[in-house]
Amino acid sequence: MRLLRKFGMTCFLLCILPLIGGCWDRTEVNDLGLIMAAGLDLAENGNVELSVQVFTPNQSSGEGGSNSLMGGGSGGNNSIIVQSATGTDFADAAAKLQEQMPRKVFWGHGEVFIFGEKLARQGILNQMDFIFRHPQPRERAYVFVSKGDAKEILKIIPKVERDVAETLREMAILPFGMGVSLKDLSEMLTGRSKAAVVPLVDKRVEPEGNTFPYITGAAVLKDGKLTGTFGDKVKRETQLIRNKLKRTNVTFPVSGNRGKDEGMMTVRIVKGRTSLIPVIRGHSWSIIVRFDAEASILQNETRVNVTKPQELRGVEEQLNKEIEKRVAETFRLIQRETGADIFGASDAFWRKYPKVWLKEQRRWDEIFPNVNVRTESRVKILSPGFSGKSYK
Amino acid sequence: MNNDSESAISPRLTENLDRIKALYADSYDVVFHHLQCGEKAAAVIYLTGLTDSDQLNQFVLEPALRKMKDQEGGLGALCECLPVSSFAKAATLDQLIMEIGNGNPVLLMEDEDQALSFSLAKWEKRSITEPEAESVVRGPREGFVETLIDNVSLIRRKLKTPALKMKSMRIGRYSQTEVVIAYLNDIVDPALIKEIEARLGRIDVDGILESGNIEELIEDNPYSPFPQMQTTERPDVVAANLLEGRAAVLVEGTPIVLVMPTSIFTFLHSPEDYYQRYYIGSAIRWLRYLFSLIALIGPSFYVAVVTFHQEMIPTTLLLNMTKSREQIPFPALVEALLMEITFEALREAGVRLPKQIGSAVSIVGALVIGQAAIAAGLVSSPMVMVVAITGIASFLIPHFTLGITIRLLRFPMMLLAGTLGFFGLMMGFALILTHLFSLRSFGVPYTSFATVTHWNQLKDVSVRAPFWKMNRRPKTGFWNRYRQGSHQRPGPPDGGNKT
Repeated sequence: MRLLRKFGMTCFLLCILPLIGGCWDRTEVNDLGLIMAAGLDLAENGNVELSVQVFTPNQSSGEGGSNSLMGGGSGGNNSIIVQSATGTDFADAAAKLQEQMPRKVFWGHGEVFIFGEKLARQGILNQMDFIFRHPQPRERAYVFVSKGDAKEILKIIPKVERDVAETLREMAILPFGMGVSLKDLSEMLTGRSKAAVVPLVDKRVEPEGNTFPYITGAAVLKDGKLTGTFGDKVKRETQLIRNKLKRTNVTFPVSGNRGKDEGMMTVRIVKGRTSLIPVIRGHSWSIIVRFDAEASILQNETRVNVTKPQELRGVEEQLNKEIEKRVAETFRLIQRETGADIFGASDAFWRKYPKVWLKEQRRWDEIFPNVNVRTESRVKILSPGFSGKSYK
Repeated sequence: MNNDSESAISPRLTENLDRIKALYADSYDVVFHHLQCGEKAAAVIYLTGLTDSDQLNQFVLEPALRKMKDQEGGLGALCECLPVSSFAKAATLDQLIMEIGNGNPVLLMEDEDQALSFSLAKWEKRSITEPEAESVVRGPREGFVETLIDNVSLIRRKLKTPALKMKSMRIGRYSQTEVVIAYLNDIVDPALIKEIEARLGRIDVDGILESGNIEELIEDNPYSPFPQMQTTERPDVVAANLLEGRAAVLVEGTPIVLVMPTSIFTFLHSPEDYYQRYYIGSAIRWLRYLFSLIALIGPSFYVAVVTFHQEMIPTTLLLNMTKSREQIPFPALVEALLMEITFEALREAGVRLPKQIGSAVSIVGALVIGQAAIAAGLVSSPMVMVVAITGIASFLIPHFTLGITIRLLRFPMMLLAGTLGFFGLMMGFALILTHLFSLRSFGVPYTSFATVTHWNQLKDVSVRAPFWKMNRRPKTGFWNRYRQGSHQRPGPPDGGNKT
């Protein structure tokens, strides 16, 4: 009987053992310093300045929390503060940041990482290592390169969304937003081409005092270093070549039958699909960018009767020529200015000519700027839109 | 029990009377009525409250006094002239005592070694009303009552076949409670009946006051928190179960009938599932499955997420939750326990109180829990919502016995989740599942319908299949497998081909 009681007692103690140990690790949500977005800038002496947007619960609801029943009030803009810390690298700066904060730094909800332009020029690979090695930050977080300091972008208080992080995240999701997640970035940087393209974010100040961040173009990274920033057009064309552009609007000039410029026309492109077709003839490497899509007319400023299929054929031809021209220009621009293969041409060559690739892959950086590019656009205009002839 | 020589009724009336009087000493409600039946002395013995004395006067005493006045002869002659439909002869004193205990008056006569007992028992009883714990929108409104014979008749009226068997036995040293095992002879597994009889037979207790007493003494795993027998107060539920090859145990003095064997899914089914259209029945079943899961792990899931896995919460929601938790002094686990215990207390208070006061309790509860607790900064508003949903979820379980089990298991789950997070939650969940899979109800696995691979068995668990689809009985028996003819699916004449 005594043995049985001893056994029971042991069992009981064993049962409560995990309960005693477990409480140690718990963290309440109100003990967390939630990082919504982080920006990295270059500081003096090669140091890194880490700026973060920290969520601060509204203290105004402190009198008893009667309005917390209603959901704690709306997510007001004042509930986000920007805090900075400087360290030798990301991890060091993060540790310094923790020293400044009464709450436990929590990266799990950080959805935006911004690298300042200067830091990006120096290289971001070392700092990215921390983001991937730390268990909390998400691979799904979006990466941006800022024109100027990242801290300035974080300090913006946007009017439409809750904070900059939310604004940038929403913009990145949009089809032309060129959203690049940490996972995408690491794949690009470790891929065959070691080149990546990241959206470039800038701050825009309206005269009325409305300040907001927006994506102005594309930043091209080669071996983790920023080698060039490009504008809006290049961004779109780059997306097209990378087969990331499913829908877009294209505005192009239409010339009439007698060679007279009749005006502009805009089409909406849907179901866009791009394929890169590599060709190696002797020592000349070339690539064909083929773009297939369907389009419908969005705005017609010309006299073309878009309801007649035979007249549409001519328009289609001019549209395709325009797209081919722009794509080729962009491709050559990137080739010339950065030498970074951000389009995945290396993958295309590797797939089609694996043996040649194996031999020549070390020379890729020399080959790529000299790759000939030919573009083939096959967009079909299927619909004149909801209207018939133009008003002219 | 006494042996025969002691128990036998002696031909001498006074001797019998003395012995019975000795047994019933100090019992003022036992009546000994002496009468002269023709030339012989006789005595009628009965319990005043339990016997219909009017009928006794009219149909026993009067004929016995009048007709026997000038006649010779003993009990045999008396039997012939009594206008009573049901009487029995008793040869032993024990039988006699039992008849008296049942409320049947007995008649002893000089020079006779037998006695007569008349079925003239009558006592105050409740009339048949709607069962309160298992109400339905569509379906019969009658429920069992405390009188065994009424309950038996309610089942008989649903199943008129002679295959419906009602085996009776008495349990309880002092209470001598009558217990009836009901089953359908052609359908039930005979081994099950044997097993039930064996388990009932070994009960040796003072008294059985409710079927719960029996349930605890015959279940397979006495330490399990889960009910291993279905309890119901609806005759239609018992009839349906008998038709599916199960057995029922009815107990005198309670409207609650035990049905066995059972599976956990039975507790999540309502008789109304079968009375409504099968789409509705199936949809509501799924709703119940989902909410019984919420009832079990709702608060623990919340506690685990809030204290350990904050990355799982959508950002915007987390921001609001952080705001509302800002002023709360307790960890989420304490908060949850506080609210859940308060909720259980309120529920218990509402159940035990008279209905008129019960509503007052719910008002106080809503105010205290809903508003004041938040305003006082004791709990956060998301927690109140979680507790409220869990409360609703636990009320969705149609059988109270399982509902209360799940409510109870919620607390250890909360402790596990609050200390070990999802790991603890999964541990608890695995523990419960393992237990459920090992549990048996009268030899039948408790989760049997979920584990069999045959689709036929799942027809009545995963959904509520239409009746014309469920041709086989769900039970495991190999005989009398089909409960209906095939081609039961209705349709227009000519299969609807007429144009």
